[in-house]
Amino acid sequence: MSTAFSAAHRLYVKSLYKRYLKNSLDWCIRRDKWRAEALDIRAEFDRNRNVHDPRALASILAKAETELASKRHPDPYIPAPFPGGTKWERNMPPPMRPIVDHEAHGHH
Amino acid sequence: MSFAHFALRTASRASYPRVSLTIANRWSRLPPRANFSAAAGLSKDQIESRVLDVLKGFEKVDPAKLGTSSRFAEDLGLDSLDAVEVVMAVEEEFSIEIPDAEADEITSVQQAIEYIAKTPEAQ
Repeated sequence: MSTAFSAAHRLYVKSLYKRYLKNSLDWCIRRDKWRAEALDIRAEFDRNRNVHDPRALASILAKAETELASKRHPDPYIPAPFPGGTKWERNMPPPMRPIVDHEAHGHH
Repeated sequence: MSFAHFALRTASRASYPRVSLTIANRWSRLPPRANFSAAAGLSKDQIESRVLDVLKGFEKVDPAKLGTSSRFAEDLGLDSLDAVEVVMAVEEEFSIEIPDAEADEITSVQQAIEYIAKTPEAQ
């Protein structure tokens, strides 16, 4: 897919889209309700699809970021084994390196 | 309906062995789902079928064109934002988080399967 946008811009917009979707999913308790919201978000992104003017783009993206920050979920869902999740760093394997004899080394 | 009548009806309807058999059959017929108690990682077939099931749930994906070798953009006709949705659905299915940079590199069903296969946290 070749567009006029740079790879960095595309990656940023994709990340923004994903953050929007995840945030709305955090607020929704029902999938069918969330689907409508997801379609709204998609429509919003599609509306600005053909904006190529850098200034207009910058203002749209800044507005989107502030809007997302204003309605960010205080306790988002994080998969258990990932940073911030409930199983993160639980039951770490014990260190298997040889035991250091501090007294023999003369350090106190 | 009197209580005696009700109790009689319930008693005559209850056939416990058959009920338990039905449940056993239903469990064996269910597709493999997230199994958090599994000791080893997921098998390749399991990953494949679950990723394909996730993609079948998308209305923009034509099930006839769907296969393990299909690419999101060229074969399935998904644009980049659809691909984000696909990756998000795969994340939820396996309860993992895929960082943006790595999610960007997943552009085909095969790559998604390989990513899950090399992620030990995938359930």
